[in-house]
Amino acid sequence: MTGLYTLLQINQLNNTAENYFPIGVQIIFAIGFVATMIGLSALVGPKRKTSDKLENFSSGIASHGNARQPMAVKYFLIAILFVLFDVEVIFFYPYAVNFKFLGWAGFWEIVLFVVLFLIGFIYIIKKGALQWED
Amino acid sequence: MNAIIFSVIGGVVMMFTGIITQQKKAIRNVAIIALIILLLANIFDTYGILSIHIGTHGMLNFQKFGLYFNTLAYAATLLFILISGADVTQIGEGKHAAEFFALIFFSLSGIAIITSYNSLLLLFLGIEIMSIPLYILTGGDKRNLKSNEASLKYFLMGSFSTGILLMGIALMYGAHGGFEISAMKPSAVSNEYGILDPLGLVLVFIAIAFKVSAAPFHFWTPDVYDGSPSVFTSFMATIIKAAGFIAFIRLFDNKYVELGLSWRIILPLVIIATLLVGNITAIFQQSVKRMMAYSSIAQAGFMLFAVFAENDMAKEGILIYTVAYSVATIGIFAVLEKMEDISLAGYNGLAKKHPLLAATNTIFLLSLTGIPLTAGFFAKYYMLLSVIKYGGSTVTWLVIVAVIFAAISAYYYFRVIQAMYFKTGNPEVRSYNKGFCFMLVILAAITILIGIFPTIILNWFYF
Amino acid sequence: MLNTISFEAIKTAVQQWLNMHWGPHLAFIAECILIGLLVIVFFAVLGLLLVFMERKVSAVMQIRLGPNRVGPKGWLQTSADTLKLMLKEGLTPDGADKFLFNLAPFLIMIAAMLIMVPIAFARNFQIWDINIGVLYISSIASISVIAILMAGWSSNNKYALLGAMRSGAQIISYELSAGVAVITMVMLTQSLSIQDIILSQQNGWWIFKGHIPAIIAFIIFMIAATAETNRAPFDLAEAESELTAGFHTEYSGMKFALFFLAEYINVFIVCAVAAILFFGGWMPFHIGNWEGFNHIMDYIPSSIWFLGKTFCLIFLIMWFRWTFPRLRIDQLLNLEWKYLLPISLANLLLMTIIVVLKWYL
Repeated sequence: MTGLYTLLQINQLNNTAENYFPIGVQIIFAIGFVATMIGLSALVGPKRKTSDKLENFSSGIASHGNARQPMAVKYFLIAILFVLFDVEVIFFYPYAVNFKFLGWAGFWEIVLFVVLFLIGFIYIIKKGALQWED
Repeated sequence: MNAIIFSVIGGVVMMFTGIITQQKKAIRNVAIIALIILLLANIFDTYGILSIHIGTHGMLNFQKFGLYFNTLAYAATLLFILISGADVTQIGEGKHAAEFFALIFFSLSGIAIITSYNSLLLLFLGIEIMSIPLYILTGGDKRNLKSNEASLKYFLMGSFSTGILLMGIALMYGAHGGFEISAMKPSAVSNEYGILDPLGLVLVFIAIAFKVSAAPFHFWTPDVYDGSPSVFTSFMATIIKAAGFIAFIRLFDNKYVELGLSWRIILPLVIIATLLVGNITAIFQQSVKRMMAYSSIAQAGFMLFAVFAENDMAKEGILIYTVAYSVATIGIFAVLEKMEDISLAGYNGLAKKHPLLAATNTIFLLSLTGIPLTAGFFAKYYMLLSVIKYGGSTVTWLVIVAVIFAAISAYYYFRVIQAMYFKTGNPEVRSYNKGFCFMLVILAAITILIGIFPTIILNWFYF
Repeated sequence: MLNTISFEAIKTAVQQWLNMHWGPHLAFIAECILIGLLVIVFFAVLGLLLVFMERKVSAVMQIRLGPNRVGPKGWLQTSADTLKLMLKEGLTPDGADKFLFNLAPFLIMIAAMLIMVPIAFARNFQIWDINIGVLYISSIASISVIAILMAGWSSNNKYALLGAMRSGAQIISYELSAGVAVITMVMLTQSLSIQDIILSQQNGWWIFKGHIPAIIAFIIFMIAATAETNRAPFDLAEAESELTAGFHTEYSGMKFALFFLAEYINVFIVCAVAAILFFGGWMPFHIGNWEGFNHIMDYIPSSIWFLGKTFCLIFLIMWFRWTFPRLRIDQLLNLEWKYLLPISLANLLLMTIIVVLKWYL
């Protein structure tokens, strides 16, 4: 309990950290909730582990090899594209909040920004980044 | 600013050219036109005509020296594409010709940042923009295992050196409270944090030394230069390396002259180590390509003299050196690209079958050695002169060491000449056209012209 | 007055009581604990309710009865199911990465629970009005992708891995246009705080005031929301006919139930966000400055407004499930990258022009 007190006292000094305190509590509760549920079910449920039961499910037939094989590279390509465009979206947040203040000059700058991204976008589409069948 | 903007636009244009057309000739011509526009834009910028200004909050500082270097680098790239452009389009089954040119343009925009940075952050950005396309270019020959290995090696080592660079920048930021190099006077550092500044500087030094393959940090060079497609080796070894030296000079130009005696001890050690490693290992190489890789380390040792001297003479010298070394190396690699067998034995008897190739190649090799009447002589001469101007008799020993190593270098350069002229053999040469011969002659002419009138380049510099 | 039994009044009363009897620190901690318990209870109820709703809605769409044996009209069916899952054995396959396998349910529940923080359930009834609310929601929502990939990879099952990869690609792709749609609405308010967004809809919801861009943004957001929650027609991550159950194939018992719960909670959350951004959250239906009408609308409690809107949208998403056939992975990604993303970007610029020209209100 003393630990919590000191935590709270620190938080009062630092306004922003205090604001995030509820989130910390939520995390603790979420962990507690999941742990309780899983723990409870482990207590109540049966524990009969056989080697067949612990095998990986593959619709009834014996499973072949390791599942951790190389995946189609397309998924990773999507992930890389996402990183690029997500950065763009993130940059929009501050703009969306302040753009009235920035006015038309800001608007043209954001248009330039969007156009630059669209150029890259057209490029990847044309290059067949989203083509799943060759 | 023109250089940065136009090179990026050039890169984008090249990317889209690759979508519109698959014709290699068209792609190459677009690249040449874009490069000429870029060159003109930069020259105009140098003279203050039609230059675009964007507020950068003092992060970039456009000076005549940097802009002028841009011009030289772009001109060298133009020569490079004119002579080897057709080979570039053949790399990697010829599917990604336009992308290769685009990457070259992006690399050039990195160079434009490096030559004008005033903030250490921009130095970092510039070096990254310059290097990342190179990692891809190195692996351009996708189906070639060696090329892949070289690419991965370059990438891993490069990222590591970037980490060191960032660490150094962070320490320097800690010492000065800012990134601007023009504000970093040694006297501005309080004693309390005094150690941070030199430490950070050493780390930055290591990182850039890695990029220019100076001695203790050169280990990536032979493998990467050897593994990557020859045309890209030629680009990497010349223009990119010279840009690394500009980064050096800009960093040390500003305030670090006063850094103290210890700096003047570290640098000669690095220089001598670089000369030693480069020259001695080059002697034992059987492959001309690998020999050129080591020789590029050796040349980097000479170019480091400019960083050591840090005076106007050194700046003039580095410009001449850039041109002389770039032109010669581009020429040698252009010939090398045409050879089926790139070992020394492959050059046997080249003079009999292809006299033009052999003759021009000889001129380039002589220039790299530093024989009078070639550009390489004045390049080395200016370097040594700048050192003497800086230190007088106290640095005579350094000059003597440099001359000795220059003499040693003659051995392995002359071995190629000997193979071409005095040995019999049946060299297999890929077909080349008249345009290629013409470009070779032009390159050789430039080499000799600068060898006779070195001030042509410098007169432009001072207008 | 009418607000005597509203959530706001209860909240204030509890707060006062706590502060009166205990010190400020203890009161704060007690509040936190209360909130945590409330959220958990809410989760449980919501899970049961939504699963039941799903089954009943499906039944109605397919002209059958649906669950009708356990309890009156089958109302206790889902509770019985939960009890059953509780009594089942929780297995961890031999080949699985045990640590990650067990960590994944924690992560997905933490993500689901954290998103609840800034959502306003009724007038002045919100765990915490964080000033970056919308950004917070979209950032936490992307954590669940990690949990899904973690679950799929650690299972060491090919179905699970495929399902996880598909679902990962799908969620991150649709996050973009969902994000842009959200920003389009933020443009109107110019604040990321949920409270500000709701209050700005005092005299009309944004979907009515925001002209065409708001409607486009709403449509895009709903499509993206359906995809982000892995629901039909975008449920190819757990396409039963090809991948058995997708990333949670290997999960059984309570762990499976938690994934299931998190899925429905996510449906609720995206619909709640849509309700807040486009339909004013708990804000009653107002028409301009027509005092009489607005006053009548105010008599309906704000929590009813919020939950009503949210559940209407949830119904909409359930409706989708029985209306559209499942997409293939390339069709799915094409829809996002080639259509939704460019449209939403153009829409955003349109909205910018409208707001800069002050064409709204």
